[in-house]
Amino acid sequence: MKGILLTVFAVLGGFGVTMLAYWLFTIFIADKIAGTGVTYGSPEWQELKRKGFEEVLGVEQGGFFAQMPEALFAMFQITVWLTPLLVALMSFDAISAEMQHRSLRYWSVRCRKESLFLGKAFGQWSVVAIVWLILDLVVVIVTVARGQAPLGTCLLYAVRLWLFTLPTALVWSAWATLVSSAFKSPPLALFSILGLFFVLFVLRSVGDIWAAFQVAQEVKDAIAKGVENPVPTKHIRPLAYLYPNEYSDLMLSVRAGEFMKGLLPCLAYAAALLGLGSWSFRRREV
Amino acid sequence: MSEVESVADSASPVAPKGKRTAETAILFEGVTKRFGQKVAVDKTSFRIKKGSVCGLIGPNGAGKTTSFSMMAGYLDPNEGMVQVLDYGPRQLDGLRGKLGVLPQDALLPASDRVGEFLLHMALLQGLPAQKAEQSARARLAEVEGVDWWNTRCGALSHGMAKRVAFAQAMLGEPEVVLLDEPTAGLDPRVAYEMRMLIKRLRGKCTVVISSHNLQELEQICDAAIVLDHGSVVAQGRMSELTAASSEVRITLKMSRRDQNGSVYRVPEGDLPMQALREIIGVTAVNFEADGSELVLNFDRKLAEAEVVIGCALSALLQRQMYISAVSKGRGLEARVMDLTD
Repeated sequence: MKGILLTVFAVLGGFGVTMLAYWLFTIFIADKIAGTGVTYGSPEWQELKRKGFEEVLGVEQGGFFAQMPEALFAMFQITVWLTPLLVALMSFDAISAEMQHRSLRYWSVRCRKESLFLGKAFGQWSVVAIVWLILDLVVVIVTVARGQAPLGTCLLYAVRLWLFTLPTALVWSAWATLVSSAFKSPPLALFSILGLFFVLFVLRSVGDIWAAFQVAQEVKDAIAKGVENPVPTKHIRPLAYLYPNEYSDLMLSVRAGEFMKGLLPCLAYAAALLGLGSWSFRRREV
Repeated sequence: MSEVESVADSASPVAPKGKRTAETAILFEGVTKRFGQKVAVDKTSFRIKKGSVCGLIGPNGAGKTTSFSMMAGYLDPNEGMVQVLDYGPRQLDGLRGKLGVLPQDALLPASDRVGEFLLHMALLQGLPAQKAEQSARARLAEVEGVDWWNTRCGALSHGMAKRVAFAQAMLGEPEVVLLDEPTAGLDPRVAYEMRMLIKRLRGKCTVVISSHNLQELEQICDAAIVLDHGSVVAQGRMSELTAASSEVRITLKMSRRDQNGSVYRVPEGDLPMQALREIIGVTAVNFEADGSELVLNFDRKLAEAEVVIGCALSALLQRQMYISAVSKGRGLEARVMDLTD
């Protein structure tokens, strides 16, 4: 019942927030292009958008984003941000409730505890994946019905964006199941999961700030040495990479190398958490 | 410890120390379990023979639930070794399908239907799909729950849930069944039926029952292990623990009314003590005045309890004694009260 309710709320909430973000975006753009003679959604607007994206992200990457219906991009950002919350609410009692009520004792004499842990983690991940797929389809239907993009384009981007959310959702699910398995009280598990996710977010922010200082220092040093238009090298932000959503940006790249730089560490991160969780839960007394 | 050794012999379903055989179903060897500073089970050793129905007895905090939990693999010992059918309790590949457990306080998954739950458990035990459903339905029928197949576990009463949990412990053909308080919270009729079910398991598999209900254990079990403060204080056949095979107790009514209606006490000198001592096999006769109880100890190699009872009653009736009750041994309850604080 909890799963069904959360699915309904997540789809309705995700759709509502997506539409709100999309509406605010159109208002913002309409304001920006007012008086230029370009109307929102017109071929001129599309060309303007393509050039803008290409300038910031390069020809390949910019071209990819420029063709994407805005509502779908808004949905992708919303799902990336909502995934930790949805995972926390879905997973907090996955194991903790069974530890609390000792229901786990019926299973623990029949199957390995590490199998139980992995089953719970992948089960939660599957549910999140299905919820976001439903949201994707709802947004596609609305986008097509409003004539904002053809069905083929919508489906192509929707499926790709949905696939991009899966690896990070697996890391979130592994974290949540790991924490859930450490507690016998579901409320305590929920607060701990939310607390942990917040800490990861803070670490990412700290990582971002630290990297910005590093870049500023590098540019300052280059100017002092007489370098014109210095281009800072990319700084690795170790703390930020603890935050699973960090990998989703990398996975958006159309370049295979960049994409793999996002996907492989993300999968390794998930595997490490699942391994740690299985190991610790195996040793746990029920 | 001497008491432990004195009640256990080679014929006992609870095997003595140092005699590990292929007949051992459950082995505890120097097992210690601590929870922080508290020692719940302290260097405990015992063996339970295959095919026996053995009770784990003791007051609250004696360590019986901890011992039970270590047998089921819920808890790990800090020291020592626990084996079930020669496997560690967590070696599930070896134990799958051979071990059935009825945990005491474990709730059934509320949203699962009873049939789904039992079928799932049977499949996890390695039974093929068709056999799993047959086993699930058969076990549910045994606990009179045929109508609950499609009922959600959350909608079951405490007694019904207990019976479903009992059914899951019996799925397949387990060689060892661990039951924690199997009749707690059940109405007398259902509790009686559960006892009958457990009795029918005798000889088919090894059953270990942890319970506070000593009268019930006395009826069901053929052996028992008495724990107190985390240690075994007695173990052996039930008849040995209760001294049922070498002791007869006869309760007499010693107060009478005379012709005027006033109450008087029959003098102890009227008891046929000499005649009782002369019964073949009787080794000692004592009269416990406070309970008006006559205690006859006898050598079970020379006489059967029933013969001793017959002779003793005959001697007492000849002296026109009023007999209130006759029992073999003291009963488990009295024995456990003696053994534990």
